Amino acid sequence: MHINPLEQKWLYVSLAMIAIFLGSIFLTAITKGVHPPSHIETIDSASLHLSGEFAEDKLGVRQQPDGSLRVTLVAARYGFYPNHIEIPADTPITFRMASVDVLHGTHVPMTNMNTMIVPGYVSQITTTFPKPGDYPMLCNEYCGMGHDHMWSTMTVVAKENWHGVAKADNLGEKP
Amino acid sequence: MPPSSRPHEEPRDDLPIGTWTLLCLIAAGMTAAWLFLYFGVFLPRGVVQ
Repeated sequence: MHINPLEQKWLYVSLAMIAIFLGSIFLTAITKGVHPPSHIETIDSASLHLSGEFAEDKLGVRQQPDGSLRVTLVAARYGFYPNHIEIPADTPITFRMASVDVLHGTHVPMTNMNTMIVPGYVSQITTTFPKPGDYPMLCNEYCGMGHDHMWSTMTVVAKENWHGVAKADNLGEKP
Repeated sequence: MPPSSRPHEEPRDDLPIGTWTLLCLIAAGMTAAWLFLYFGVFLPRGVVQ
């Protein structure tokens, strides 16, 4: 196949750029564990609020037996429950979220927190929030007439000002 | 109508300096911008797992 020499050189440069981009992504995926949220765990949306980790008294920020922090949220038309959470900065936090009705999403602007909450599945994402401050948590999947009112707040406090939360080791939750 | 007087040009193996300059500027600019967005904006906002 004949390729014009000029086009060939542009092609080589383009391929080199793609190699740099993919190399950066693979490097950070291996060294820092960066990858898109992917978690397959099913749950009965109709009864998740009755017992288990998504029962009303078990929602919110909990410290796991291994010391890690977990936030359990329920998304329902039109809000996230609990409506406000407080978490420490620079700490890996695992969010576990489930929907009781329709498709929802969660997005925290100016952070990388962004995932869908599909009914029948538990959405799980682990991330850190480097900058303390107040953040909105928005639903970014159209879920009905009140979709634009579906948001909650999240306060990220500096690690030294973090006072801790209840431990989850006697709540019968999954580790 | 007379046949086209434009002579057939053989493709050049060497690149003119202007083309090289344009190629390098665009490639370096796009690479630098992408690396800045990835390492300077995306990753500092918190690693996602």
